[in-house]
Amino acid sequence: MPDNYKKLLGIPGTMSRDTTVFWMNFDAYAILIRIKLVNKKTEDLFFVFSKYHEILRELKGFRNTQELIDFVREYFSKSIDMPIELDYHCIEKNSSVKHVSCFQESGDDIAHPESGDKFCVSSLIELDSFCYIASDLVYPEYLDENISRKIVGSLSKNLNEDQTSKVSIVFSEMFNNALDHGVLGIPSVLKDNTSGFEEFINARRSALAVSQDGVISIEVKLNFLKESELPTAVFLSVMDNGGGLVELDRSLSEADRKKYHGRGLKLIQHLSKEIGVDELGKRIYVVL
Amino acid sequence: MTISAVKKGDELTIQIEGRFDFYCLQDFRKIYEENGKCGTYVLDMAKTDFLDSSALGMLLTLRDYAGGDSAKITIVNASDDIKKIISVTKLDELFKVM
Repeated sequence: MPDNYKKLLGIPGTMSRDTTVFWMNFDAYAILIRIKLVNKKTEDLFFVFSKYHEILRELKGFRNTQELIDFVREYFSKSIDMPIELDYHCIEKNSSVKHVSCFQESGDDIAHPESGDKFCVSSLIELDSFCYIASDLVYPEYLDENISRKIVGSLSKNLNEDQTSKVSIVFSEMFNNALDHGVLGIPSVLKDNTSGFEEFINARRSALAVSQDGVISIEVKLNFLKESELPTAVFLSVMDNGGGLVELDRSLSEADRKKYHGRGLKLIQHLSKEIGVDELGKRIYVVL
Repeated sequence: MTISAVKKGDELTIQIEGRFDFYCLQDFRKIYEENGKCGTYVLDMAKTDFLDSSALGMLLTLRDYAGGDSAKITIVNASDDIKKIISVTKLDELFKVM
């Protein structure tokens, strides 16, 4: 990964289904808050995710850890109509620990959460530079036709119209590639003729209907300058555990231009300031 | 997403409302096949708010249906974002964009 990506990615944080990391700049270096849901339905997790967004917007002005904890506890108990448990873990300001790893998962690890949880949603907030990371693991049971739209929908609250439009195209192309080719293993060549398009859709539907081993990991980071309302950079990463792609430099030849497929990456490239793929071709990341 | 069409003489105008993506394929294909081959096609994208790479593929299925290189297809009222997508993928060489 080039150095500029390292800078944008910031400090690796703990990622887990229901844990939020608040990077502090007062009495604690970081606070990890975990909200436990009794019913772990996808809708509920999306709801928690959206609450984290709301909390993010109200974060300024806390003076100490306890204030923040109280606030989060109240916020969730008011807005979630179900029993929740909240626990937290503090990292002292003078601690040398930079990579926080508790509540089981950490960093880029995409291990399955315990207890049959199938969907991971978490967020990381870095108060110092106003950065925000969301990291989702999407398991096959929840891979449906609307997931990409839901995720873009929750992100768009933080973006302007132009950013939303770019993010929605780029993200949906990245996600669909990961889903269709990575997880489901459906080749694009199916789309070589008109009826193949329909075959492709049918292949996707029937593949989604049976259980898959795949998982897609999504990472989003918005970079804010202090006090700015809109992010100055949007980092998106989508990783799947399939066979991997990717020829990034492919240009559209005369003959390719009349084909029914093969434009997704071109679009991603055009709309992104930077684009990269890991060595195995399983992870693609862009900066918008 | 809603796809509708109006036929005037030998010209078929197809309006695409909302998201134009993968899941529009059947509706899109049905609407141009139902109306038979026409001399000219107008794709009205005034109300299209999203278009992805599969939608671009679908535009090409229409182009082939309408005669390939001899097809007369005009895209009208597209937003700047959509126009950009069309030009980036070089489809402006295959469709008239107004």
